[in-house]
Amino acid sequence: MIIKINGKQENLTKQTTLSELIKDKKIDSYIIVVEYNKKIIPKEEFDKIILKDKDKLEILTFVGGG
Amino acid sequence: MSFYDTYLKYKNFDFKNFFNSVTENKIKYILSKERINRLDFLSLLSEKASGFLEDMALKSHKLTISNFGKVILLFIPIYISDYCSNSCLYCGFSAKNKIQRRHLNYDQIETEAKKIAETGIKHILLLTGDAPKIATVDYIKNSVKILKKYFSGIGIEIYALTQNEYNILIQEGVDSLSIYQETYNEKLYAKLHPAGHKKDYHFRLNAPESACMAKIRSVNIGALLGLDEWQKDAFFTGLHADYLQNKYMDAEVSISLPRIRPHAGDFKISHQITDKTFVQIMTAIRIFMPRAGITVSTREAPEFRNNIIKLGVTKMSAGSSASVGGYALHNNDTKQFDISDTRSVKKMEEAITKLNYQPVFKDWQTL
Amino acid sequence: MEDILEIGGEKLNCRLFIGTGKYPSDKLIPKIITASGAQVITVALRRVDFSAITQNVMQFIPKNIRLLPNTSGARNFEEAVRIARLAKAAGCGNWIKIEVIPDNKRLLPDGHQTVKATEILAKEGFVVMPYINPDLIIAKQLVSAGAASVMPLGAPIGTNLGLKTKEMIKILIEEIPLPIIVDAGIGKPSDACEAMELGAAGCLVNTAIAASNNPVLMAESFGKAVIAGRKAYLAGFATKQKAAKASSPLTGFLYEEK
Repeated sequence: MIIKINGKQENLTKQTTLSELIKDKKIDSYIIVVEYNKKIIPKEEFDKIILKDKDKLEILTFVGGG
Repeated sequence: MSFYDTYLKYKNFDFKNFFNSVTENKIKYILSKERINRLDFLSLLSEKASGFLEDMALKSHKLTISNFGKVILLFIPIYISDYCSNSCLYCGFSAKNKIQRRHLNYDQIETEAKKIAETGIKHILLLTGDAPKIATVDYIKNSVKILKKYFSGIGIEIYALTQNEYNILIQEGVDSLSIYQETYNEKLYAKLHPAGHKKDYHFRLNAPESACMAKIRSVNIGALLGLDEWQKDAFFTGLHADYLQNKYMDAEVSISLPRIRPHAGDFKISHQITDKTFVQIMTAIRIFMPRAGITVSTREAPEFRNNIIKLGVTKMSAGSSASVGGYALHNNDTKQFDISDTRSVKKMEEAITKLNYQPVFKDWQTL
Repeated sequence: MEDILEIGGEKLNCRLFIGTGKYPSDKLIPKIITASGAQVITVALRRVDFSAITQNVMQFIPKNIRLLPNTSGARNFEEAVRIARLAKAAGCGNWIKIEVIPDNKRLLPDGHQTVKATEILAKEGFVVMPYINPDLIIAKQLVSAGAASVMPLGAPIGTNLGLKTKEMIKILIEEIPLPIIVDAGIGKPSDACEAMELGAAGCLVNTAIAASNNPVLMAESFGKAVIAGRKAYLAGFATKQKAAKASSPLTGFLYEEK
């Protein structure tokens, strides 16, 4: 199953929820916002989203800026 | 939101107390500022400020030159109808005054227009009395059509209209509106305008705004100085002009400073406006509104008009008759008011040139 | 004397806003906040870089500081609106600094697109603070669009040139009934002080602090400069005295015997 995360393709070998993916990426301590197929997903729903082929994810966080 | 909301804010303002609190230092400070606010403007109308007339004049002179240059736009009025259904206590055209009324037909208007055009002036101001059933919008529209043949700028000074009516006249070629609130004092207004179409204070107050909404190029407002305490009416005139300028940035806003003049009828002038006061009001307005036009009519005397050219004026009427048919038809029996400066356009031109200013006969033409 | 700046219902004591970009280390940020006294701080939204996870700027920002995310990276109103919604969803409140920059050479903002974005976001309940060229007509449109403040640039971003647009900013201060917060171009504390003396409601400073040799000391200096300028503005300036005049060339006629 191929999905796109922040513009890069990744191959997922097993069924994964959004919250599992975030855990795997070691960014669960971050303040993040996730856009899943162009839709903003509230944090409470990360568990419910099971990733499927051709999904597009944007995972964003805050950085320094003026 | 209309200007009435701004009026209400200051309606019960304690002017007396405010004027008492104005100090000489305060005036000096205000005159050193680049832009002044409403209360600074009011301070410049105080007794204290009258001791700083030369400083105010200097500042006004500089601001006027940097915004307008050394030019005076000349215009000429044409009265086409003096039927009037109002009975304004101070006006020569009042329905109560038993005068010979005139209403020019289109041929007569053309005759007058031709005669006026000989002076070379290209900006004309069309005036009627307040009789919408006689001098109808349609009649005025057709008159504008005639005047367009001879003049490049056409202003109207008629009864208050609705936005739609203004739109009709603007489409026909009217580019500027002169309309005076006479007095902003609502109570006094009711007393002075007991009957007729003009009785409606709010309709009159909103008229300049209606014209702005109809996309008029220029509006000229004012109060008839002398009806109420001049400080108040001068202040509200400034606030009204400022309100329009801020809200309708595409309109050119001007202020007229008519002083009440003798006329038919027996109205007593309650507040005399001296020349000093006139200069104080004019320069205060210029300092408050550096971009506003300031109009002075032939109500003022020749020498005084010469003297104030440098103090902030941008537009002047010249060679005027305040009677219907006063140019070619030689009617001069009933005037709206007595003209004080009776100089011809030619003489006016010479006087302005002598002061090293340029008289402008044609400022623009709407294409 | 209490002097509060109110924006979006929030009451602020400090009129200096600071940015969080370009610091030698984000660890400095808490010290910068303390030294400057700032209560509002800007941040940007970016894709998480999974290959180089280090620290997150958020961990250095105390909880009581108001975050002002910007929409940097947006080149049109759609992108700005999208970034704003994402920032809000991240749970950092509803403040947003709109930055729409289609010009990579000069980094100048697109006023027209900024107005469009402001209109949409204000309707959605955002506290919108748009970054613009100090253009009165655009600023008036922003007022109608529901902006909470207007942030005109003093000079192009990152130039540290100072208040090059001073006359235009003065016009905004006079004409716009919203807090004017000068953003971009402020290079020295005296520039910030000058903006405040003119009557600006606040200043946003980033590069001038972040790129200083001693950012913490510079932050303190900016904090004090903003206070000094504000107090001077509130106090009102003394009159510049001109030389006395003896004659009255313009109004002499009023006093002549007739």
